[in-house]
This record gives sequence, structure tokens and C-alpha cells, in this order.
Amino acid sequence: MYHKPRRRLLRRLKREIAKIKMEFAREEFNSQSAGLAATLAANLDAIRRELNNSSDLIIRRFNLGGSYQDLGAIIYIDGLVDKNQVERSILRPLMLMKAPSSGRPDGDDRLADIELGLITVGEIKRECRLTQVIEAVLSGKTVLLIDGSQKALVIATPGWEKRSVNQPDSEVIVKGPRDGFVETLRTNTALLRRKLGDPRLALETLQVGTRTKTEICIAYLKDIADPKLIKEIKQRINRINTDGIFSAGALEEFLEDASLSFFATMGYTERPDVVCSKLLEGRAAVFIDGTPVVLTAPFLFIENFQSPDDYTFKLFFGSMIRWVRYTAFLISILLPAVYVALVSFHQEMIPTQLLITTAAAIEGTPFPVVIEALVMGLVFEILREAGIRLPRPIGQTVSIIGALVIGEATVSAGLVGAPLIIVVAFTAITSFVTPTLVQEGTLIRFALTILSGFLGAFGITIGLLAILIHMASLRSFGVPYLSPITPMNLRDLSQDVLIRAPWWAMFTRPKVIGGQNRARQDFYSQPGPTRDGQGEAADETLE
Amino acid sequence: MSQLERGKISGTQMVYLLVSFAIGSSIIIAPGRGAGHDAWFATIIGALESMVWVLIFTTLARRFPDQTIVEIMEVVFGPFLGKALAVCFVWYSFHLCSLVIGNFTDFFTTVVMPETPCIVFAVSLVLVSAFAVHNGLEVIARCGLVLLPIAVFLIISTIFLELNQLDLKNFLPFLETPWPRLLKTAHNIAVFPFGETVIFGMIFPYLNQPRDGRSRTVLGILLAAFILTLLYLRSIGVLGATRSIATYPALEAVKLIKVPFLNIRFEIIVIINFLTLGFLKITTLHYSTVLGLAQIFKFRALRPLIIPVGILTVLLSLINFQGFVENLEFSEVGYPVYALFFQLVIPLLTLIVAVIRKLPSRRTGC
Repeated sequence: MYHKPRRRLLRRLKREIAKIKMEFAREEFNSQSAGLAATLAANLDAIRRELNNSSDLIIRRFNLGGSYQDLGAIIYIDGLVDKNQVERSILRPLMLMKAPSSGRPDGDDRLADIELGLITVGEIKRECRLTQVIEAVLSGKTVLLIDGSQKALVIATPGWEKRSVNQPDSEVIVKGPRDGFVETLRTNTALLRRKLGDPRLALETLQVGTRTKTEICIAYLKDIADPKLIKEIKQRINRINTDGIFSAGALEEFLEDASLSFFATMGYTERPDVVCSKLLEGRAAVFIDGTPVVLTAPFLFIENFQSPDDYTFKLFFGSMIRWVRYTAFLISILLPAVYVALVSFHQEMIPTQLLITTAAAIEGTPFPVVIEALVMGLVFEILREAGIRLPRPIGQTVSIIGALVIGEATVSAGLVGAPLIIVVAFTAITSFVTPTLVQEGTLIRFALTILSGFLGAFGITIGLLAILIHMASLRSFGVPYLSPITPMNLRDLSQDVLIRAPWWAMFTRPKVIGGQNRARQDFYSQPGPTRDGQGEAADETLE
Repeated sequence: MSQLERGKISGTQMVYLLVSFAIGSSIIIAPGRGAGHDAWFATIIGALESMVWVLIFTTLARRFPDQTIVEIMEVVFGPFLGKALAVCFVWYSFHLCSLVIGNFTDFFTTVVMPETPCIVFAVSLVLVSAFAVHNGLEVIARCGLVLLPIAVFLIISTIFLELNQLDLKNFLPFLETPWPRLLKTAHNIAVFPFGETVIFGMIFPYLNQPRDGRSRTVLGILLAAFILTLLYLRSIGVLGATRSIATYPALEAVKLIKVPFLNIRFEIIVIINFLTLGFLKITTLHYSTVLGLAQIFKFRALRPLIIPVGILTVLLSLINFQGFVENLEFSEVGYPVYALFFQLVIPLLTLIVAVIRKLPSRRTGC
């Protein structure tokens, strides 16, 4: 009975959506059908009208090759083009020289003559639709119109302000390349091409956002990446129908399998070398114009613990540091909960001497331990949030106040026990060891602390089980989120999870990702000392 | 094949799940009290005995590789009798689930948190298991893949921690228990926990290779028997004859762990083991109950059944027994006979009728 109104509502919604879609389609049809007019004045008027006569719109009329009959105009947006280049390669030749003529007086042919004979810019295109011309102007290109032609030349003269390529602050590594992505899509794809000279590297560009017209570029290696994955990503991007996308985070939420999960199922990085190694494993990367953050998919839980440094350090230390990260993550989600459980339910687990000091420290504090833990956790989150966006000098003040006043004073005032301060501080430090898991870790930590306050170790275990079930049910573009741990793949586990295997021993790509082209290198590439005879022979040939 | 479960699990995943299922609650309840310090030997005999009916229900499953045991009964006995027997089978799964939850609540209310009402434990466990069932068989199997290695690691570490408490004299006199009593205890162990794997008749068709079902079940039972034997050897070696009078021998054994210079008690290890493995057992039973019901009554989805079945399980677990002694009495005397009906009689009957009726015929296309 109660589903009737719901159905009616659904029907109405559907009708509304259909109407909106129709409007969109009509608008698109109208705008696409408008071609360029034959006279220059009409075209310039139309462009000016479409762009609302904006103050940064520059229209420069001139006479072609010094003849007063032939009018031409270039149109660009101030600030988006390289003015020197416009002057040197477009205006100067056009105004001072005559195009070598093919002899036909037709307007369109004259445009072709100009393109072939006068303009000295590499990237050039002919367009005949008004909308495309306007789009080109807005994306930083220079448009050349001449009187009597229904076509326009779109000349790429990009010259907007950009940041130089330098090391990203968020991912600093010790022993590796120092370049990082910037806000310009082309610079980013060029950085990738510089590292990956494979002709099979495919870069496919799509556009998202009806108003922002953001360019999005999918990069993958054609023979390694799963074609189904690429198809899925493209489908999901094409499904987006929103007015604007300008950050990786927003696009991520549109693309993810389970965007309501608190685990991220797409990875992000600002480093070309990381993107390169992920592509080599069979993943795909999504570049977004206007942000230095590149998304990678599929993303597995285990990637949160992998840092580019693991692969540049010696392998024993690299493997150890990885276990340090696993431990730190476990501590960061479990420590406050375990402390609460120990102090309030399972005192027998604490070594006797520690039990006595702990009891003495807690003696006289007014609140139950779980309340203390939650409040101190909250205080830490507030301090972090306050410090993160402030200018650096003020940020330091905040941390000093936090450490001294809140830490020291609350203990000496008897509001919380001293062990709790240690627990909270240590948890905070451990949570920064895996920077990509800070959000997830914080949520899990609070949930587990609350459960532990109610039910002790039982509550913690129940909470962990629920999280495990959730993680086991997650998929990132069809790949189980917890693989290769579960479903288990021993080879992948032993290559890159339990230890960081030596480079020459990583024979295969991860099965769930690069499964269709698993072989990565020869089986026998382990180096060793050259035998005497061979070594000498090599020396001789060198000389 | 029905569309109730679209996931597929691999043979390895089923072995992990089956081992967790088999040692899930026996890790703490410790059947085989009657055999005293020979319980480890009874475990071995019990595992071998259970092989007999493992062969029976896996033969049945191999005849009908695409169908769960509930569907098989309907095919073999026709719609009415078949449904009646299938309901019996589902009842067993349901009842067993409530028994395991009862064991849990008993354990937690007596040992860990005596002042918390037992319904809290039952409800939170069932909620988590409902969450897992909701996510499907694949997810349950994947959880098994993570939880079992952790549990085995903890078990082995307790064994190492107790090496200094171990007294080999506790095993003497060797095989002192009279044979009839030893065999009776072995039978108890065969029905609980090993025979209970008949529930996996609901899972075989969802294997990647359904024909692997038998070998995987046998392998799983052998592994579980090995782990249980190790556990019993540990408890007996540490506790000696007192093991058979302890309510929770594993807990008593772990209480005795003494690590030099470290004055900590390790009961929490047993509790966590019991919880994680028991969770898998409860989830498997919950899942098979829901799946069985859905197949009998031709549901199109499992979802509407999960929470109601969970609630009923909790309620049944609360009224099953008046107290722990009654529970013990039932598991020693009643259960070995009661369970035999579901573990041996129903599958055997189905198999015989299927052979007589020459099912599956080609016409049904199974």
C-alpha cells in the first residue's frame, strides 16, 4: 500500500529528467547548427555577442599583406595566449607579407593559402562552426578570421601563467626523481611521455563538465591494461553530466565503485614516476586539467602501504619499513581502543607494575576512560584541523598551545590521566605514517574506541570483523579491494606485500591487475660477479 | 541454477572456511570430555569416523553438482516430501546456529564480562553475521582467508608459550580409557564438530569446480583434526587430568602461560580466536539457513530473510537451555543421536533414493 505514492513520485521524477534531457539536446542542436557567416563583421559581432563583450576578449582587425581590400581579424583572450608568439608568428607575417597564392580568389582557398604559406605555428586547425570557434578562444587559442571565408583558423598559442615542475610537497621521497605534476594537462602528459617512451602508451582525452569543459585524459598501456577496465572508466566518465569538475576528489566520487564507502577505491599521486610504475603494472591513470593530482585505478588497499622509496632503498630495509607501516596503521586504529578496553575491562592483561602506575594516574580523574579517550581524540583532531590551513608561524603557535596547555595542563589539573596523553600522542604520530589512510584511520579509530568503551575486547573484535567484511566486499573497478591478501595470490603476496622482493625477482605483474600480460621480465636477471674469463673478454672488446 | 547467489568461491577458500567452521566453537568448548587425557586420540578416531558420512554427502553433491542439498531433496523426493525433508535440514542449520550463539553468550557471560546481559553478545554477533551474509558467500569466504591464518598463528604461539608448562607425564598411562568409552567419545567428536560440515552441502554448487567438493572437504577435515589434536595435546599436556573437569579447558590452559619478566595474562588470545572463528561458523550457518529457506520457498532474493532469521536465532539461543549443565548434558547425550539424523540419515536416504530412481536423469539436465 505504502509504495504507491513512491511510485508516483518516481514517475514524476522520470518525467522531469526527460524534460531536462530534451532541453539539453535542443540547446546543443541549436548551437551546433550555427555555422560561420561569410562576412567578417557578422562573425565578429556574433563572437562578441556570445562572449558578452567581455573585457578580456581581444579582437584585432588588420589588413592582409598591406592590401586595403582584404580584411582579417585575430581573436584571443588576454592572458591565455603568448602575446609575443601571436605578434611574431601570426600578426607580423600576415600584415607584412603576401601569401603565395594558388591563384583562386575564393575566400576559403585564401585561408588555406595563409595556413600553408604564412603562419609559423605548429598546431593549427580549420573550424567552421561558431561554437567550436568560441570554445577554442576560451581554451586559450588564437582564432584567425578573414573576410569572405566561412572558415576560421584555430592556432594554438598557449601562454597562460603556470607553476614550474617541482617536487610535490605531499609526496617527498629521499632517493628518487624530484619532478611532480603541475596544473596543466599537457605538461603532465609530457612528463609521463618522458618517462615512458612506449608507443603503446595510449592517451585518450574526454571532456567533462557542461560549463567548466574540463579536459580529462586517460592514460594506459594498451597491451597490459585490461580493455574492460578502460571501457568501464570511459563509460563512467561519459555518464557524468554535471556543470563542473575541477578537482580529482570530485571526479573520484563520480568514478568510484562504492562512493559511499569510507575507503578510497581510487589512488592519487602527484609523481610521474609513481604513475609510470602503476601503468606498467596494468593500471590506468586519469589526468585532470587544472589539478596536479592524478587518479589511478584500480586501487588496492595494499597500495596505501607502498611508497616509491621502498623500491629505491635496499630491499631488506625496504621490506622492514613496509612492516613498520603495517604496524603503525594497526596501532593508529587500535591503540586508544585497546587502552580503553585494558583499563576498563581487562586489567589482568596489563603487567602488574604498569597496572599500579596506571591505576595511580587514573585515580582521581573525573570521567570514565572512554570519555577521556574520545575527548582527547577530538582535541587532537581540532588541533590538526586548526594547524593545517593556517600560515606557518600561527600554525606553530597552535601546536605549542596544544602540546603545552592542553597536554601538560590537563594532566596536572587532574582532568585526564597521563597515560592517555601518551596514547593519544603516539596514535597521532603513527597515523601520519600512512598518509593516504588518515581519513579512514580516524573514522575507524573513533568507532572502535566507542565500541571498546561499551564491550571491551569483544567490541573491538566485533568492530574489526565488521570492517573486514566491508573491505572484503569492496571492489575497485572489478578488482577485489583486499587482493592479493584475499582472494589470495601467493606470488603477488611474496613479491610486493609480505616483503619487497628484489627488482630482478619481480617477474610478474599483479594477477588481478595485469593478468592478461603477466610476464614482466626475464626469469634469470639476477646479477652476480662475472667469472674471470668472461670479464676479461668484455674488457678486451671494450678497448 | 538459482540466482540467489551469483558469487563463486575457490576450493582453497572453501578449505579455509571449512577448517574455521570445524574448529570454530570446539576451540573452546572442547568436546571429548569423556576420554580424559586420551581426548587427542579420540579426536583422530572421530575425524576418521566422520569421513564415512563426509563420503556420503559429497557423493550426493557430486551426483548433483549444480544444486544445493536442499534443492537435491526436492528433486529426489518430489515437491512435498522433499520440501519436508529440506525444512528438517534447514532447521538443523538454524538450530545449530542458535546452539553456537548460545555457547558464545555462555562463555562471555561466565568468563569475560559477567555483568553484561547475554543478549548484547548474541545480538551484536548476529548483526555482524547478518552484515556478512548480506554481502554474500564470496565475502564470507574472503573473511575466512584473513581470519584463519591469524587464529592459527595465535594458536601456535600459545603452544610455544606453554612449552615450559608442558608435562609429558600427563599423557600417561597411554590409552588408559576403556575402548567402549573411547569410541563413544570419538563418536561425539565425529558429530561435533566434524560431522557438522554436512552444512557445506549448501555451498558445494558455488565452488569454481563443484567436483572438487569432496577432496576439499576431506582436506579441510584433516587439517581441522590436526589443529584440534594439537590443541588437545597442549591442554592435556598442561592441565593433565583436570582438563576433563574444566568448563573451558583451552582457557584454563592459556591462563597458565608464564612468560619470564612479563607479568601478563593471555586469555585474550583464546577469546579473540573463539570470536573470529566462531563468527565464521555462525555466519556460515546463518547463510545456509537463509539460503535454504529462500530455496525452499522460492524467494528471489536472500535479503528479506537475513534479519528475521537472525532475530529468531537469537531468541532460540536464549531459550535453548536453562543453564550450562543442561547444555553439557545435551551435547554429551542428546546431540550425538539428534545430529546423526541430519548428518547421516537424511543424506544417506537421499542418496539411496537418488540411486534407485536413477537421478539425475538426462531430462532434468543437471
